[in-house]
Amino acid sequence: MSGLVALDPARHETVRFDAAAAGRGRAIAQLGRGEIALAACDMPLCFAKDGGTGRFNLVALMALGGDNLFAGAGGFHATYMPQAVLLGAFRLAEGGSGLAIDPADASIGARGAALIERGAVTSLVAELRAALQRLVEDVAAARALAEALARHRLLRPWRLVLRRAEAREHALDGLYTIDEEALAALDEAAVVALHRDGSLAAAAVIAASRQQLERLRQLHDAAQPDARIVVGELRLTSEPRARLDNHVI
Amino acid sequence: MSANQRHDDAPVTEVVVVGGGSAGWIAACRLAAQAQRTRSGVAVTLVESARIPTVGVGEGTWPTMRNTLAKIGISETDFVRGCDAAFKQGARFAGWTDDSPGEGYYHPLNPPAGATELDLAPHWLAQSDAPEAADFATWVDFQATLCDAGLAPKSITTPEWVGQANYAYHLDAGKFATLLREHAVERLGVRHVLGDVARVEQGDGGDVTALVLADGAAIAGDLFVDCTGFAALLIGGVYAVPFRRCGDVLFADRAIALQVPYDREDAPITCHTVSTAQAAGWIWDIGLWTRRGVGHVYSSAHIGDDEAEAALRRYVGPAADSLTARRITIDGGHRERFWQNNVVAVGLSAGFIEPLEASALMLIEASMDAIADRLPRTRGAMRVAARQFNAAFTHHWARIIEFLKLHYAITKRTDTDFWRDNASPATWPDGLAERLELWRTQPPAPQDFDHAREVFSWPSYQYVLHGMRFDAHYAPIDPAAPESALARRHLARAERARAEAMQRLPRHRDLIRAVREHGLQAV
Repeated sequence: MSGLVALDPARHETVRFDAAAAGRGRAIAQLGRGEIALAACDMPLCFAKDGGTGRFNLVALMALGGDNLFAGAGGFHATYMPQAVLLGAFRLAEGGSGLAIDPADASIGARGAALIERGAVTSLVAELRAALQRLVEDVAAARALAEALARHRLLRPWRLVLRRAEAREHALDGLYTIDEEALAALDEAAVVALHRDGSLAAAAVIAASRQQLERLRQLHDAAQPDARIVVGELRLTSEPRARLDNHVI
Repeated sequence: MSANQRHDDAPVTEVVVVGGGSAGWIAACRLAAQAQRTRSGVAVTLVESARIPTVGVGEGTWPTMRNTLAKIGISETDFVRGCDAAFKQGARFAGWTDDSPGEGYYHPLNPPAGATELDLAPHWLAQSDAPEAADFATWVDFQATLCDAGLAPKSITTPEWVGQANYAYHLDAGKFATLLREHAVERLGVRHVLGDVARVEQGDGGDVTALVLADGAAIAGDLFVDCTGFAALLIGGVYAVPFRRCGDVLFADRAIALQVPYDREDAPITCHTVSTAQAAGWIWDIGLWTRRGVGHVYSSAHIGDDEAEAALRRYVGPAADSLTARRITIDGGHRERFWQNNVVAVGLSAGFIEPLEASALMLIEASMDAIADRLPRTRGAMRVAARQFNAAFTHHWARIIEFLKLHYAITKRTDTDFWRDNASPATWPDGLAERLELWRTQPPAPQDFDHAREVFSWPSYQYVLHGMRFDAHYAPIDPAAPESALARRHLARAERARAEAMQRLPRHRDLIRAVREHGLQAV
């Protein structure tokens, strides 16, 4: 996203948007709260921390240490494309057309729908802006969900280990999932509160979506039959204990 | 049932903490949190005078504070925000070995690499004469490099209480007591009584039965925790337990402190304590979020108060011109017993010592670990607990005094009487003298100490000894030996950790800002 530039009718006359090409090169996509049920039909949903704030974002996992497993030459092979994938080439911008584009994104090129025609932005630009605004709000709602779950200590690290045929191991770190043991141990007041605001249902769907890891594995092996992969979860009985005493070892 | 039997079987259900500084509120929080966790039914009351100001001892902690706060139930985010806290990765001792420009060494909080498997000290010593050889702390671990670079021990995505490197805190002691008080009263159900103790009532056998306040109210209890600071209202005032002074070993008996504002809003915050040797003592310099705490600890037998204050102001520079210094008397030493009858002394009432290794808050925490986690259920069991406690803490105090003396004893400075007197073996405790003889030919090891859990364990001794270029000659190292191969593996791992930490960890101030703004996650 470092290559973002303001959409400029004078410079970008020939630039088009190919929605079917979106997603290439994206291993994870941020999700809005409203997308949970839809994305869970295809992808494992989990949480990842924002590098600047440490807060949890809800994300869809779309790769196993390589390229996006849903995005291929023939389009995006899933029943649902996350909005952050669809709109990945765009950002809201101040002034001008109100939109910034990443010309290097796979969805931006010579094919697809026009963004500029006869020196002016098309109606698609307004639609994209509206979709981005909705996504910003939906992502904020997903963050609020994550914060509620974190506040109740319902998140745990989700450590994935990928083993390839030649025995190389690759760990996927920095992902978090629902701690179902903690969920089961919630007191009644917390259960009611989380149920009333829909967090409990969302947590159940997110927890169930972990099984889509198998879908990712199948897609991976189908794409690379000579480099089959085994995906395992590294479960720790407890968090590594910090060294708390001066030099107690 | 005899009167003695009834006395011994009496349950311990009411604990009264006397005094409301850091010690009092840590004690109350630990006791009340433990009672809440176990639903033991133990009630905790804290009595403090509205007229007596707290001393505010200790702006530096040990990593143990993370454990204490977690047990109390205060989040790391609330602690950092509420106490203007900063992270501390150890201490740098400048000018202690000799007074050549730039001389100094680190005592980091990370143990040496591979410390559970092998001892790297002989391997370091074997190559330490080579040109460009790294100092001990840098060779055996990466934390000194982080300190030099001003980087934090963790990032904003690291969960609370966990670090890429081991860490403790620098904090504002006044704000810490306030945070603890609010937590104790609002969350842990501690009964807070403001009042001056006018009289202490004692029963048969001398146990304290109640404190009678100036307004006539009586606060009864089964166990009393004396956190009344230097006043030592119960352990000294009621029981007159003798005070064992250590001024013949540790000469510092005065301190002068300044609170120095940063010269600009984004000034770097040093992520370790800086202890700079002076002609007759040393200057501490610690960074908080909002200011630095700087102070001169010195021996009044070797320098005058005004001269010491002038040295402190020279150290701080022009920023000190408008600041008012606070003078503190250090009566170094500790009680001969800490737990007498049903009174246990915690904090300054138990003892005080110069803050060279930030042991004040640690001793409070260690005391409360022993008291709160093993609270005697009956008055009879209290006798055993008291005996164990007294034995353990008499040992701890002796080891702390020895370890602090080590910093002075092996100096190569001869420029003032203060340093010459410190280097005189006549001023060394016997235990230290004995161990130093041993450590000339073999590195400090766990077997050199009486207790499995020493407050200062062997890595601490190694950091100081080798940081101060102690004249040691260990058994030669065979590079082809299996242990040498193991050492190389651990060193290579430490190098990878160093590279990764240097690349990933944020500037110290940036981390604190992020914690204050966004908070740390629990996982």
